[in-house]
Amino acid sequence: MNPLLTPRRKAASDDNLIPLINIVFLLLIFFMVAGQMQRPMAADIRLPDIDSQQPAQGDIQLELTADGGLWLNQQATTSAQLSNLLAAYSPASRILLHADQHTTAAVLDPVLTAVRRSGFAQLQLVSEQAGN
Amino acid sequence: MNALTASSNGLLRPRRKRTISLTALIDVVFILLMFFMLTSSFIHRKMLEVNIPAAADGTGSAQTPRLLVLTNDGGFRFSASATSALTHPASADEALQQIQQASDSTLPLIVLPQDQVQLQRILTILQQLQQAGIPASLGKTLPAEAP
Repeated sequence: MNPLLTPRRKAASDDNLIPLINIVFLLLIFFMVAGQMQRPMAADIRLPDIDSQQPAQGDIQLELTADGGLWLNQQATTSAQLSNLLAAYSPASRILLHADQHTTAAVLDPVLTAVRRSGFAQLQLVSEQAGN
Repeated sequence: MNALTASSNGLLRPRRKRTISLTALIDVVFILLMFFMLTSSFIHRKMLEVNIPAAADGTGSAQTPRLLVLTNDGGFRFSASATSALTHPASADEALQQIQQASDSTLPLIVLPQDQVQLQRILTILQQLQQAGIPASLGKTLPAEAP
């Protein structure tokens, strides 16, 4: 066999990999650009579905399930303790309330009362929107 | 001529110029791809700003606010002022119409849900009010009986 041919054969096997790498790179860039990372939630919550335009941004993550389970920044708590815990934050910080869409007003009320008592006059209610 | 014969000699094989092996590169790229596929989410979270003033029950304010009650059976009660009679709008659109046309827009508007009203409905109403340009706040939860 001609010794000049051997290095070319090796290169040809790598050439087959290049289209594969191209596609994998494209997929990688797609997922990097199109997807967005979000903080995980401690509770299993179905967020309400409303047509809001503002992306969710806030400093304090509050989670409320339909049966009244409450988490502050992924630590389980109760609405009785909540106003003490929230007092540690500045009143300028924004509270993101991730509440289940089936939460009733009766369950929501103690949480809102605690938030009001800690001096916050606004609350960001998080909703979910597929696509866009 | 001499150089060519030396390079084609098996003992003096020219060193390859490849810096990174493609297999190692594709391994890393696959791992990155897996990471981004598993961590990224295509469900975008949005938020709705809700005012929850401390005096949301209407006491302590100089003005009597306009009140919109969401009842447990899916209905509405609207009070335009302390003196006017309660109205019973049949739908959210009718309630919005009454709020826009038949009330004093300088008075604050407070949405009061009854205890079994679900968050989805409260937020839908608040969102509709916000879209209509009516500043509203969320007040205390009312007991089941109609006021």
